[in-house]
Order: sequence, then C-alpha cells, then structure tokens
Amino acid sequence: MTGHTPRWLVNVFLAGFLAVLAIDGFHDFGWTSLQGVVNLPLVVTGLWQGPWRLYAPDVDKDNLRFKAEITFADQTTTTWSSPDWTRLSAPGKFVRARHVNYLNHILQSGRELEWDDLCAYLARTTRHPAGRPAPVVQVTLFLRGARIPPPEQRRLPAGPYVAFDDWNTVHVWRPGT
Amino acid sequence: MTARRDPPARSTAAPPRPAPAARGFVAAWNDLFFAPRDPRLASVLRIAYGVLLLINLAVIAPDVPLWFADSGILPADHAREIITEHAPTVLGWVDAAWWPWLCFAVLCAAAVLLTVGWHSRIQAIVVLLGLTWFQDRNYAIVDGEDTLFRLFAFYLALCPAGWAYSLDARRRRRRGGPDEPPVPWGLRLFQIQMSVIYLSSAIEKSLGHDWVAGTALYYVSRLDDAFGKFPVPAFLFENLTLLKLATWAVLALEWVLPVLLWLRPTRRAAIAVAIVFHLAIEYTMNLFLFHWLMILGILSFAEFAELRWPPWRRARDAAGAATETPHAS
Repeated sequence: MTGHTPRWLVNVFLAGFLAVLAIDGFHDFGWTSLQGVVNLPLVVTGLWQGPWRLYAPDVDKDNLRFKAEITFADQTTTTWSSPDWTRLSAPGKFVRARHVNYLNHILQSGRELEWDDLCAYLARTTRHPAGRPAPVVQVTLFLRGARIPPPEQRRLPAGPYVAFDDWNTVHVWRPGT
Repeated sequence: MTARRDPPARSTAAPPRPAPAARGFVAAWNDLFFAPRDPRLASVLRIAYGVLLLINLAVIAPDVPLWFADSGILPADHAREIITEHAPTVLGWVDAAWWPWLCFAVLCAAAVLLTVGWHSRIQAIVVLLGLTWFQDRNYAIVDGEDTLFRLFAFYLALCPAGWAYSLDARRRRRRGGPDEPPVPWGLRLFQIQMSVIYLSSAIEKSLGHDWVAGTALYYVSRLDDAFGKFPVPAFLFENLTLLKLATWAVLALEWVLPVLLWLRPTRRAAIAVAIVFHLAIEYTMNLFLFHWLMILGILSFAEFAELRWPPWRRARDAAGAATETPHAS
C-alpha cells in the first residue's frame, strides 16, 4: 500500500526522479545535454543540487581579509573590516556562518557589481565618527591574503595560517558610479 | 544491425510473464521501495529536521533586512545576476521593508507546524518553496546545507512524516482513521540522496590533486574561517604522514559508505562510522548545520527500533513488534 497514490504512479515518479537525480548529481559522466534538459525544471521546483564538491576537487589555499576605507565629504575616514575569524569563538563563527559564505562568494566571483553593492551598503550604514551629517563620497576596498604554502615547501605549525601579505586596493566606489 | 523478431503470438490466455531477469528487477524494486517498514522513522526525521530548520531560521532572523531586503547588501535586481534567470523567488515582488519579514514569518510558521506535525505534507512543501525563494533571493550566502534543507523538505513531503509524534496522528486517532501503517517509500529517497552525496563528493575529490596526494587536510586545517572550532591535539595536524592517512581515509570513506550503508551485514557499522565521521568534522570545523543534516540523512538507514533509547527498550519493542503492526504513538 502506498497511501492514496496508485502504485504505478509512484513507480513512474520514482523512475523519473532517480534518473534526474543521477543526471544532476554527477556532472562528470558526459551527459551535458541531459543536464540542460533537467536543469530548468529542477531550478523552478527548487530541487537542483549539482555535484557535491565539499572541498573538492582541490582545497582553497588562501585565507583572506577585506577592509573598506569610508571617506566622508569632510574628508574624515573610518574603516570597516571583515571579521578576524581566528579571534571569534565557536558560537561567534556559528552565527556568522552566512557572513563567511557571503565574503567567500564575493571574493571568488570577483564581480565588480557585488563589490559595488557592498560599498553602497557600507556607505548607507556607516555613521560618521563624529556624528556629523556629512555624506560618504568614496569607499575603497582593500584585500589581503595569506596563501598556505605546500607542505613540501615549508612545514607549518598547526592552526590557521595568518602570514598575510600587504593590503591591496581592489575596488574604489563613489556615489552615482 | 537489429535482429528481426517474429511478432508475438496472440493469445487469449494470461498475459506473457516478464523474463526472469525482469522479474528479478521488479521484485528487487518492490522490495526496496514497498516492503513494510516502520513509518515512525519518518516522523523522527521530521522532528529532527524541524529543529535544525528552526535553528537555521533563528540564526538568519537578525539579518533578514541585510540579506533579503533592497536596503540590504544585495538589491533584488543585482541578485538575479548571480543566479539563473529562471530561479523563482517572491522576495522581489514587493519593494517594501515589511515584505521580506512577512515571507520569513510564513516560512517560520511552516517550520514550526512541520516540527509539530500539523498537516505535515503541506508544511514540508511550503518549507521547500520558502527555502527555495529565500535562497534564490540571495544566492551569495547559500552553501551545501541549504541544498540539503531543500531536498530533505521534498523527501519529507513524500514520506508519511506526520504518521506519529504529531498533531496529524492525534487528529487521525480522534477521527478513527486507519491504523494500517503506510509504506514509507520516501525514506528510500533520503538514503539514495545520501549515497549520491558521498559518491558525487568522492568522484569530485578523486578528480583533483589535493585529495589524491593526501594534502587536502593539511590545507583545510590551516584555513582560518572553516577550521579550528574546538581544541585539537597539535601533533595530529603537524605530522604530514598522519594528515595524509586521514585525507585518504576521508576519501576512502566517501567511496565505500554508499555501498556499505546498503548491505545488511555492514549497515549498522557503516551508520556508526558515518556518524562518528560527521561528529568529528563537526567538532573541528565551522560548517554551521551541514554535518547535523548529514547525520539526519544517515539515520534514514536505521530502523525505527534501532533508534530507541535506552537500548534495553529495543528488545522489549522487538518482542512487541512480533505480535503487532507498527502503530502511531
């Protein structure tokens, strides 16, 4: 017994769904055209998954930090920084899980549009250090990284690798741009 | 070249029976999906899923305007550019500060109602739609556990998730509804999904360099955002030989779990190993709820009676199960 649903209908659904699951979950079997066929219905229904990479095929090797310098019309500046993950507690990292995802996403995608959005958000939400009503005239984004050296090259102590390079300017935003 | 076959002889007798191989496949298929199984397991998964979903929503709640409003970090029209144009979302329909909150409230309500089992199937579908629309609104904050949340909601909608420990079960009993337990074929989809995850991940890892070379965990253990949740002995992560062995063990486990979890002699051991594996990663890494969801998926390989605690109750239940069919609690 399968409840109110006829058995044949359940079987048809299962056969179809399992085929779609295999096509969507395994991208390395050369069935690209089939993926094109199943992709739209999966996206529309919210059932897409794609291959499960989970630190594959290779692990990220960079620890990264973001910093933004926000300049107001009176030339006062203030700084926003992405979290220093090594200083956060386990619960602190837990509640900021989405922030980790967001920062990783905009760093990996490297899209100017998303950097603009971050800058615009910082311009809207950052208060003048002295409380003056001066508008933000520029936001400059800086990035620095610590690339984990291969173990054959240098043996590292356990723990996060935080030998960061100097800050590099990656984006400059001004209102209206 | 195709062999020409004679047309089948017409017969007024019984329809032709499938070949033995086809019969074997049909029997195996029916045994896999439609053999009787205690549906209360689906109810346990429903509650566990509901709790995890509510934790997820509670963590997101303070940041709803940040992630999902036009006044936040990603305007709706820009959000469409980082995801396929067909991805549906209602979050961009109304340009008002209260709209994301209203959508979020509906999703939270569905999550609560799913957890307590009030029209469980409908709530699971609402949760699936709600999660999809929120994830499509801001794909920049989405990762693997969000995919699991969506897929598990779908599988719960296909399970008799409200059969036990639910308001649905109470309503059924009051109305004198059927006590014959439904066949929870949807539970098999949880199991197949878990196998797909391990196998897909094993294939992807094997196509790269770090996992095959054995250096993957060396790098993972030096990442500052993902690693370092709780204290671990330093020597484990300074000895390259140990790190290589651990890396290869993870890779091997992902290759063999999709097989061992399905075989009767190894199933229980594989469940135990998989749970320890995920707990170990949960202890060392900051991956939000991903590994708790994986453990939930692994539990779909268990039978309901095996989840009873304390263990001595299992023997008593087994004795009872021999004389009666599973029933709603």
